[in-house]
Formats: sequence, structure tokens, C-alpha cells
Amino acid sequence: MATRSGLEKWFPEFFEKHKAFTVFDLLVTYISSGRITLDKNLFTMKIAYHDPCNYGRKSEEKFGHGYYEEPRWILSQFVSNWVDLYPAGANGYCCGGGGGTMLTPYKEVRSHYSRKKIEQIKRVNPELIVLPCHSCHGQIKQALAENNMDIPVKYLWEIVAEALIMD
Amino acid sequence: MMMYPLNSPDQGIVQTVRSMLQELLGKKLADAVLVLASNPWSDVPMPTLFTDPDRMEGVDPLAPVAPVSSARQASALTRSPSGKTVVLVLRPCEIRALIELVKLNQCSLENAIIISMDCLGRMENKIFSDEAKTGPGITERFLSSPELQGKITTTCSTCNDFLPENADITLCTLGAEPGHMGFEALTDKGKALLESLGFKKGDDLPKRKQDIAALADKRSLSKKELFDATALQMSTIDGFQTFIGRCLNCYNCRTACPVCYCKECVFLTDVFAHPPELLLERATRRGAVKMPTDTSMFHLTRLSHIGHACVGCGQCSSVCPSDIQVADMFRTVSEKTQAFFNYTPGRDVTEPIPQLVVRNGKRGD
Amino acid sequence: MNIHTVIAGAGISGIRAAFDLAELGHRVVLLDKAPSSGGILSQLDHQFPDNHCGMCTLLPMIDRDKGPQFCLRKGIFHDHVTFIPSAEIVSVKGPAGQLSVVVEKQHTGIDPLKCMACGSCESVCPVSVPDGFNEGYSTRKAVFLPVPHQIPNHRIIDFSVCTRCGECVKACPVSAINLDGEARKLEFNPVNAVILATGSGQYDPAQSDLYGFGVLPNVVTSKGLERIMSSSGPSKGQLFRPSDNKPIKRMAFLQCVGSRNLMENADHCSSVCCMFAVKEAVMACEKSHDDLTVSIFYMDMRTFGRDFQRYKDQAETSHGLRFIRCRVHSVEPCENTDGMKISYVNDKGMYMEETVDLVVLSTGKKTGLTHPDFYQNEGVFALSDTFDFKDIGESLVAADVAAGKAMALGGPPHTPEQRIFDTQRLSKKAMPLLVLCQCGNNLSNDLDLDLIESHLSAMPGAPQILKLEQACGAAGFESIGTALTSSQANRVVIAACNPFLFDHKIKALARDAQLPDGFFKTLDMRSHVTGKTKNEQTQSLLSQIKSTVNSLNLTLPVYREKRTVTPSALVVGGGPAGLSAAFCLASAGIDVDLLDKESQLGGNGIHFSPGPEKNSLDKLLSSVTNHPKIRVHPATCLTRHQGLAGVFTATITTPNAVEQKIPHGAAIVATGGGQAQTLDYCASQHNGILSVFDLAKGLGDKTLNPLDFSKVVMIQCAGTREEPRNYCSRICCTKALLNAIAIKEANPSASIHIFYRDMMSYGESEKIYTRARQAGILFIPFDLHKKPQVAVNNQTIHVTGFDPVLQEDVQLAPDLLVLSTGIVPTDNQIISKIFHINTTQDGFLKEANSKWRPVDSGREGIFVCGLARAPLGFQEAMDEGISAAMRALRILGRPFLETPQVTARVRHSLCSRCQACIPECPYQARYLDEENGKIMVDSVSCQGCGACASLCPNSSIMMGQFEEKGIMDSIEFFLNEACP
Repeated sequence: MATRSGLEKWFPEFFEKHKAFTVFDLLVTYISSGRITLDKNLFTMKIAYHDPCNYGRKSEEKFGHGYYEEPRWILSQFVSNWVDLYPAGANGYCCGGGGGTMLTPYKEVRSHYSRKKIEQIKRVNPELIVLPCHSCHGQIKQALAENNMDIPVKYLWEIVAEALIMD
Repeated sequence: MMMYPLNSPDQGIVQTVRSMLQELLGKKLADAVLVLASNPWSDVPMPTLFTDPDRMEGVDPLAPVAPVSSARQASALTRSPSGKTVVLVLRPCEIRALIELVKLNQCSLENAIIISMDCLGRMENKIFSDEAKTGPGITERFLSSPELQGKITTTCSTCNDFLPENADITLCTLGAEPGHMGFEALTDKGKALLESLGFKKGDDLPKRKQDIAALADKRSLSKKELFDATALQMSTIDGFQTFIGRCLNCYNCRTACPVCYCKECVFLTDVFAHPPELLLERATRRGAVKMPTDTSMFHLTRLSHIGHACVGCGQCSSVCPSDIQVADMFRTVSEKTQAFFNYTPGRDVTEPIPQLVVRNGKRGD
Repeated sequence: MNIHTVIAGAGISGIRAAFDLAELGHRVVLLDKAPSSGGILSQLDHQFPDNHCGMCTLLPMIDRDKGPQFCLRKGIFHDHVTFIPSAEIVSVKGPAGQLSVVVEKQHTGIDPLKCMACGSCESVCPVSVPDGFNEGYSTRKAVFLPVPHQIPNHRIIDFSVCTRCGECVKACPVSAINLDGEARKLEFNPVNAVILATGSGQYDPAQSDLYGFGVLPNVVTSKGLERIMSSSGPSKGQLFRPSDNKPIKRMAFLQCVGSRNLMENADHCSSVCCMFAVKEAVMACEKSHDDLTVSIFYMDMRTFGRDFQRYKDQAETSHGLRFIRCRVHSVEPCENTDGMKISYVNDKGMYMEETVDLVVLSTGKKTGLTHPDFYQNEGVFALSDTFDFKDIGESLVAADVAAGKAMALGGPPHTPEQRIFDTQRLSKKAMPLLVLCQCGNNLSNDLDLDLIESHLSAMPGAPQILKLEQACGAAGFESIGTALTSSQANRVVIAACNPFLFDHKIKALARDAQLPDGFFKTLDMRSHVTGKTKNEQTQSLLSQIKSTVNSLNLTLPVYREKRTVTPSALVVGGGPAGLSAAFCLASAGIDVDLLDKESQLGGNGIHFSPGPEKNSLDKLLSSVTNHPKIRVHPATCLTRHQGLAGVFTATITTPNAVEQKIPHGAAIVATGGGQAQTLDYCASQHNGILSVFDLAKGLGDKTLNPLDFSKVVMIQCAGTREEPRNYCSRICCTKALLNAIAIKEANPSASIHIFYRDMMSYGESEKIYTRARQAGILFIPFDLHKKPQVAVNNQTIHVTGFDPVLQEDVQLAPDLLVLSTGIVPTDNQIISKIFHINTTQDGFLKEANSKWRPVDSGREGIFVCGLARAPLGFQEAMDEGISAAMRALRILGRPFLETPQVTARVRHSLCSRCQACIPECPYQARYLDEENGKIMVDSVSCQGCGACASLCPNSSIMMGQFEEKGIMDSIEFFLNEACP
């Protein structure tokens, strides 16, 4: 997202020669064309999906499209038991990670802004959290630890990779 | 409130008052005077309307009798504007009744001058007539004799509203030396009148406050006793029925009542003109029914229609041929009704009649 | 007789349009998709400002005997209106005036002609689903009463949940149920017009996951709250929360749910939610005796109606309502309780979190609705902005406008049929006929009708008795008709079942027999079946019959006045409202005298700049001045007005000081208003300080050049919306926005700041507000405690205002300062005295009822509209003019007015002229005839409410059919029964 933004702003000529698309587009293409196949029995625990701001609202504002449907479609292809947090999608709560505040010294602030996300997670009580953003990943992992909640956090493509059927 | 005491008792109280009223006409301060006066055909004075001062020798407003509530006559005189100034000499209860009639647009007090008195009560006609026969000067005797004062009606003896409100001038006897009196001006109009007649302001009558207080206490005590006894008797249906057991539906009490003002009483209309079938049906239901019917209904209706306005004049008891103490019943009940609405009849002409007040709101507001 | 108009939608707008046409004698078919009438309002019990229901105020007031004279929520029973529930229009073809309308009526499973409303079907139905009437907070069966208190209470079957088990078919005692039926098509042809008053649904918050609606039990919509607070609702009116029936102590209202939301494509304001939230908050506080904390989370409190601001202020002070300016993002559940968390940012920028017991979502209108394909056909009139939410008063005005258009297609008003009474038959001694219905033998175990018959025959004044097996069938009614004719009875008591079921049948019987409706009484025999012994129940019914017969015998025929109507109208004021009214009346064939105190007509319209509004006004002016039925009297004042509805006389003074008398049947007062002046904000101290209207005119006329303004500041609510002038003038915010956008578009580098308290861009004007923000115009909110300060030094304007986001003052030096000063009415003191009508505390002419009779004055025959009544926009004023004209046509469209059967009369021999009755009449129908010294009643204005009769200390009022003797006797009968 950031990359594409930057390219559009400073190197617009890039797009004359190359196309840019997201990992969602890639995975959707690969799965629907059958290029990769996934093991449907591997992930049976209760998984909660988290919508990041950048791939959602920010992307919608900047590029006219928010990636809400694609990750859910991907999950539906091989995960039997995934749920939304409440609210979700364009209405979803920000994790408080700010796209990189883990790198800043504002530890208390960052921790404070994670509390709504933690409450959302507590209400749903999943066994695994899946998300597509590295900043959210770090933030949520850290926040869970700070709240003594022992729930693993994985990237969307991570679990896709784990479920790949190799032949 | 200004006192104009009179220090020349030679004339006597009755003549002093008479002269003053004659002067009002003589000096053209008024066009007519309504006042109690004796006449050759009656052994009790009657309210009389005078325009000629020379005809006023029988005038005696302080006579301890009132064969009828003059409020009615005063109302008839002021029903519509006549352009004339009329002096109305009325007892305190009669003024109160008149104010209630003003509220119902039955009369108006513009162009009226109201003169009242410290009311020491009235006797029933027969008692007055008997006492008057024993010698001259019944009024002067009454004013100075506690024994005679004890012969007033039950209603008067239990009344503690004996000082007038809403009058222009009061004829004051309470607290004066025997044979003395004073005129009190209660309004600017009254003051102007008294001064035009040449009276001079002075000190209050020497024992006025004490005498008034003493009389008020005595009356209040008697009133409480009477009301308690009446209430006790009326506390059961049997008691009530016994109280009015001899009622004939003659409607004298209604006629004599100064605040019962309907042009045609509902009891005279078809609503109570029962066909024989109804009377027979009633008799069949209960086995027997006293005739005339609807006597309780009459009193209950009157209580609910004008209970708020009962001024305690006692005329109803005076005129009842069956000796029913109608006034005791009305005053006992009315006291409670009036307290409930925080209403005092005759107190203030702008105070609305409770049953005619419409408010918007929820029940229980 | 032909159907004049078909109306789709039997909510209050449809009902109003139906009555408008029905009162003119036209026949109307009124449909609703739902199985009952009333629309949204059938679920709402209380409307502000007085928190009463008030729906019956819609009932016809002229010729009221043709319509129902009981609660309108029970149903619609007008002689000229046919109501068809569960029906929709499927096609409209043909030219206006000759339409062919096809309606599809759903099969509801129950034959209304057979159904006795006994409820046996419902008691055996096994299916239980959430009850839509109570917004899902209670349950109902598959066969159910759609609106419990409507009559006839025919049940219907919801086939979408019916299991077709057939138990109801077996249980029905009259075989009225048929599970297999088809929808039928009904055709109405030719019809003059079609009116679409279908309204829109409410936004369903379940479609968003932000509010937890449908998931969290204590999140309700505003309608849900109304049902909870209703005494006929799921908790009988107790303020308990749905999850656990515990009392509610803390309540939060979230405004703008589903509206003002670009993410949901809802760039509109739903206009009514702010006010109904305040009303609901007030009701909730009153119910809980103020043991309740209510917080309303809003963006703008849109109190744009004339009396709304004061209502809101009063609510805030009396009940401590907390108004918090912050749009709440979402509702979160609490951890261990059924409560919910609301997070918001306060006016100091601090993050706050509160827990509440109940969240109320103020949901607006539904979006994404489409019009039917015949929407644009000629002769099809949709209420303006059909899918918009409107206040009740505005809905009724819109209905009047649509009815006016329909009426114009049908020619002059139809002369209503005159009721003829057989005076000879009535003048004879009372001869009652008693009809005893055996209810198909269903009551033989509970009531001994033979005993009743024999007992009554022995009664003095015995009625003739007709025993029928079933009175409610066609055969039954025919028998009654025959018996009436042969017996020449002049009073009828029908002992059968639910009286309302057959109201129209009784009226038909009465009409045929030429007897007044009130001489027919129906008793519900089944109400005596109370579980006691047969003998006791029979005795109870017997005494009711006896008492009814007796009181009917004593009922006297009423004296009837017939007043010939002067078929012309007086319109005072030639602005947009007055012109509109005059034109509508003239088009209906009524002569009009139009007065204006100026020599030029047009009112405020003469200030319009070139544009669509001006074109519209010019067209109207031309239509009016050229109309042969309109006499215009410019530069003329009204000096006197006398008379009664239908027979008024006005006295005018012409410009050459000649007095002229104008007789007329109805008067419309449209004296208008103008912009308000203020001394606030240095208003007149600099050339660069203008009012919002002056700026609009300057920009429109091009006398002001937007390029001249590089820094603009606008201050809304200048000198207004605070005491003493505490009302919103409705149109200034939108005008200010349009001004700002015009300047910004012409001059993109201009910087524009608007200081506002609440942006009143209601309805579709919200789009203008969105455009303004997107154009880069800056908005700074302020409240009464911290108003912007303006100073003028050395020819420069300095504005200092507090910005709550920055939490500090901003300093601005604009070259243009625009003040929205608002609108004031023309001085109405003299006019109101001339007409004996009231004004509000701000000088506007007061309407009889701001919701239900928005253009009627307190006196019948005199109507008020336009700016004289309230601040309005141009189109709104014109619509009100038409609405007033339609109201006037109820009188003018008839050759004469007759006295309805229950009307007050004075028995002068008993009246003591105390005059206590005159001020208490709510319809100003009583007056003192000074010449004759009598108190008189205007029988046309009198609505038979009986307030005077209950008040009169001399019992001198006769209320036609409610005479004292009859009532006293009835009481005696009942007392006899109670104490044998």
C-alpha cells in the first residue's frame, strides 16, 4: 500500500511499464485458477480475521478500493471456522499500531490505543488471529502479551502457505 | 382602614346611622339607598329602596333581623347598568353572596357603594317580633344586652365571619363605649364619602381589637361544636336520611338562598318529572318508597352545585317549614369543600369558581 | 357512482388526502399494502408538543356525520371512502381523468364478510413468531390481528410462516378460513387520478454491524422504544429493558443512524429524527419520574420548525437531557452485564466512555427505494418527495397538495348528498324496535334470549321485538329493514355483537329509513358472557337492553339548521402563499377577492433574483391576475370581519377611502413576513456586513461580485434562536450554504468560515452541506455561552470566535461578514383582533394544531398559511397556500352546511348568561349575541365535544342525543342493577 502510494507520487512512470497489485489479488488469482490447492482440514480451530486500516479504509480512499471481500473469500476456501470481529470491514476498529508506531518510543500511547482491539478479541475468544498487515501483526501480538492473552497471530499468506498441498 | 369615631351619643346609634344615610341622598352623593327599614304593614323591617331622604324615618340596618338575604335584592338592582349610583347596605354574608353572583355575571358592582356593619347576628323573625313588642329601641337594647345577643339564630351564633370584606364603609359598634360607634372607611371611595359628609378621622375604638378577638374565639368554639355534631350525624346514610327526613321538596331553602341563582331549577324540569311508571318501578324494586321522591337528591344536588359558594347566611334554616337545619348541613359540608379547593366565597371577585376552572394536564398533576 | 381517485398508502397522508376528497363529495378508494391502516403512526402513541396522540383530529369537522366520530386508529369508516387492506396498485394506464387502475389484493385466508372476530383461530395456531407491530419485542401467531385495536378485528394469515396445519380451519365456527386462495385483481375504470402516498420504510440498522442491532438485546430503534413505552406494548408501558426487564436508568440516543452517512450512500438528512428523539426522551423521563439520565449524541440538533427550539430547550431544562455533540461510531457491549459502552469525545476534546442500559438508534428513512413504473404517468400524483420523512404537519400539507391536483382533474366539487329525515315519523311518540340476534345459536348456553323476550314484552313502553338467527349477514340486515318499514318504529336497538363491525350497515339502514344515525344503538351481547351463571348473564344483558331502550325513547330529534354558503373566498395577502391559495380556489370554480396592503402583489417574491423561483412566481402572478374569478384589491386594508363559517362579511377600505363590504364563505390569512433585523455583531456599522438574504439577492442579481470577496465570515443564528426571539427561521442555513458555494465556485481562492450553532440543512439540503464542506468551506460550531465577537475598527471588521477543535480563539478579518438574522412575521396584532384568532408569543398566526390542523386557525372557516404562520421556504409557502385552499373548499364546495346530529344547543330559559362556556369551547363556537342578550352556538364550528355541557352550571346545554333526562335514567337503571 505504502509502496504503491509512494510509487504513484514520485515515480508515476513506473506504471507505464509495470503493473502493481496486492498479495490479495495474487492469492485470489492463484486459488481460483487452481494454480495452488489448499488442505481444507488443516485449520479447524476458531479463527478471527482482523481488517487493517491501510488495506481497508485507506486503500478505499486512495485507490478507490478496499480489500474486505478478498481475504474473506480466501479464508472461506480452506478455513471451516472463521469469524468476523464486531464491527468489521470498513467499520472495523483500528488496532492502534499506526502503521509503524512499534518503532517509536511512544510505548504507553501505543498500548493505550490497542485496548479496543483487545476487547473485540476477548468478546470473540478465537484460537488464532489472522491478518494481512505487518504493523497490525506486531501491534496485536504485543498487546495480547501485555494483556496476558495467549492467542497466536499469523499472516494470511502464512496460513495459506501452511495449508499448501505439495505434489 | 380608617376609623371615624363618633363622640356625640345623644342621637343614639340608630339615628346616627339613619342621618348618615339620609345625608347621602340629601347631598346627592347617591341616587338611591337599599337598606332595611320598618314599614306599616310588617312587624319586621324589610329591605327598602329609598330615593327620598324624608321617607327614611324607619331605616334601621343594625336591627337584629333579616327576613331575607338582601343580596338577592342588590343583585336585581345591579343586573344591568342603570347609570345610577346605588348605596347597598348589607350584612357581611350578604356582601359575600353578592360577590359570588358577580362572578357569575348576574350583577355588577360598578356604581355601587357598599355599606356594611359589625354583624352581631340576627334573630328569627318571630323572636325578633316578640322582643320588639316588649318595648321601643330594640336595636339599641340588642347592641348593649348580652342576653338579647344570645337569642340570635344558631347559624349566626356559630359564624366567625362577622366583619365585612369588600365594603366601602363599616358601621362599627364592636369595641366602642356603650352608646358610641364609629364609621370605618375600608376603601378610598368610602373615605371620600365620609369626609364629604363631614366626618373626621380619629383613633380606633378603644376596645375594638379585644372585643373582636373575644367574639371570634367564642364563635369559633361554637362553630366547631356544631360542625362536629352535624358531621357525626351525617356520617351514616341513616343519619343523613334522618336529618332531612321531613323534607317536602317545598324548595323554600332554594328560594331563600342568595347564591342559588339558576333561572330555572333542574328539579322543576322534565328531568325530575317522573312518569307514573318510573315511580311504580321504584316502589316495586324496593317494596316501598317515600313520596315525594328525590328529596335527598335535591339536597345533594344543591350541595354539589353551590356548596362552594355557601356564605353561611342561615336563611335556608329560617325558612324551612319542617324545621330542618339545612344551614348546619350546608355549612359543615361547604367548609370541607371550600378547603379542598382552597376557595373562600366572597373573598375576591377575581377568584374563579373552582368547578369552572379548566386545566390541561394529566390526571394526578 | 364512479370512483374519483385511487390512493395508494393509508398512512396519515393517504388518509388526509382521502378525507380531503371525500369531504368534497368525491368517492375514493384507499389502499394499503399492509393489512391495516395508519402506517407508521399506528405504532406511535404520543406526538409532541403535548404528547397526546391526536390522530382523531384528522376526522372531518364539516359534515362530520358522514365519517367516523370515534378514534381514527380503530379504522376508516367514511361514507365516501372504501378502504382496501393488503392491496397494491399494479398498473395505471390511460390519460389523466380517464385512468384504468388495476389493484392486486392479497389473499389473507379469512373472509371478512363471515368472520365474527371471535379469535378461536388464533388460540389454536401452533406458530409463534416475533410481532412486527411491537417491533419484535413480543410474539404473535401466524393468524393474528395486524393492529390489535383496529376494528373490524378481522384476523389475517401470514402465509410466509403458516405451516398449513389446518387447525384454524377446524376451529372457526363460521367456516371463514380458506388456506388456499389466490390474490385477486380489482380494476377501477375510469378513475380521475391516482395519489401515491406510500411513504418509505425506516432504515434497518441490522444491515450495519456498528450498532449491534439484532445482536445486543438492549439496542433498540426509535420505533422500538415507542413500543416499549406504549401501554399496549410488550411491557405494558413500563420502561424496562428488553434483555432482563430491569428498569432503565441510563439511556443514550444515537442520532443520524442511516442518514448523513456517505459510506452508506445516504447523503441526506431524515428531518424528523432530532425532534422525535427529544420527544421520546421527554416521554421516557416522565414515565420514570425523572429517575433516568438521557444523553443524546448528535451532530446538529435540527429544530427547524417554528416551536421546536423552545420545546427542546424546555425539555433540556425540565428533564436534564444531556445533549452531546459527537457522532458515536459504534456501540460496544459491556463485559459482564447487559449494558453497553458508548465512547465519545467531549467538547474539550477529551475521550469519554459511558455505560448505558438502553441505546436508542434514531433511524432515518430507508434508501434504495424505487418508484413504481407508473410514477410519472399523467394523472398520477406522488406526495412531494414521497420517500422523504416529513413532520406530521408537513405530511398533511403535502397530502392536501396532492388531493388538490387530483381534484383539479375531476371538475368542480360534487354536491354532497343531503340526508332527509322523516320528520313526521320522528314527531310521533317514541316507538322502539328491538332486534335480538341469536348469533347463529352460539350463545344459547350463555344467554336466555327467550327470557329476555318475554320480560321485555311485559315492560311498559315495550319495544317491538324481532328475533333473527344472524343479524350480521345480508339477509339479516334485509329483515331489519323490512321490519322497520312495516312497524314504522322510529328507534332501533340491535342486540348483537361488536357494534363497530357493522357501523356502515347501520348507517345504510338509517339512511333508508330516513332516521338519524343516533337513533340506532347496537349492543354487544357477548360482553355479558363473563363466566357467571346463565341467569346472571341474562339479567345483566336485560338491564342493558332496558336502559338503552329507555334512553333512546327519551332521545329527541335534534333541531337542524341549514346554512347557505356564500361560494366565494377572501384571501388576505398576495405573496406566494396567498397567490397559491387564490389560484387553487379559482381553479375549483370559487370566486376570490384577493387583498394586499401593497400596490404590487408578490410579497417577498418581488425580491427574488432571476432564476427558477422567480419564473415560478411570475407564472403564478400572471395566472392570478388574469383569472376571471379572481378580483385583486391592491393597496387595500381589511378593517372588519364578521359572521360565521360560510356566511362571513369583510369590510375593506379601498385606496380612495371608500368602504366596501365583501361577503364570503371562508377566509385565508397569508399576511407574510420579512427578514429580521438585529443590532448584534455590529450589524449596521459597516458596508461589508450584510444579511444572508441581501447577499443572496446581490449574488443573484449580480450586483455583488464574488471576486470582490477574498475573506468571508458568516455567522448563523444572529440575534435569533435565543430569547426573546427563540425560534429557528428554517431557511437561513441553506441560503448561507448556497451563498458560500456560489462565492467559492466563482472565486476558489476565497476563504470562507461559517460560525454555526446547528446547521439546519434538513432533508435533501444535506447534499448542499456536503458540497460546501467538500468545496473547502470551514465550519466552526459555537454555542450561546460563547458567541463570536465582532468589532469594527478603522473600517475593518474583526471577528473573534472560539474553535472547539483547536480549543482556542481564531481571529479573522473578513471583507464580508454575513449575518443570518432570520425571519419575522408581519405585525399581526390588528389582523388577529379583526379575525379573533390567536398569535404565538413571537407574533406568528397560531394554527389550531401544529401537527394535525396545520393551516386551520382556531376558528372554523378562517385559515392561516405562509410566513404569517411560520418561517418557510418559497415552495413550502406555496404548498401551504394550496393546503389552506383545500381546507376552505370543505366549506365553499358545498351549497349549504347542515347541523350534525350531536351538536350543542342552548336552552335559553335555563341559561343564566354567566358566560363561563364561551372561553372554554375549544373550537370558539360559542358567542354572546349582544343584541338579543343570548348565548349562541355556531352549529357548524361546534364539534359536539360536550365541554360546554359538562361545564354549564345551569344545565342549559342540550347535546342532541345526550340529554340529561335520558342519561339520568340510564344511570338509575344501572344503579338498580348494581344494588337490587
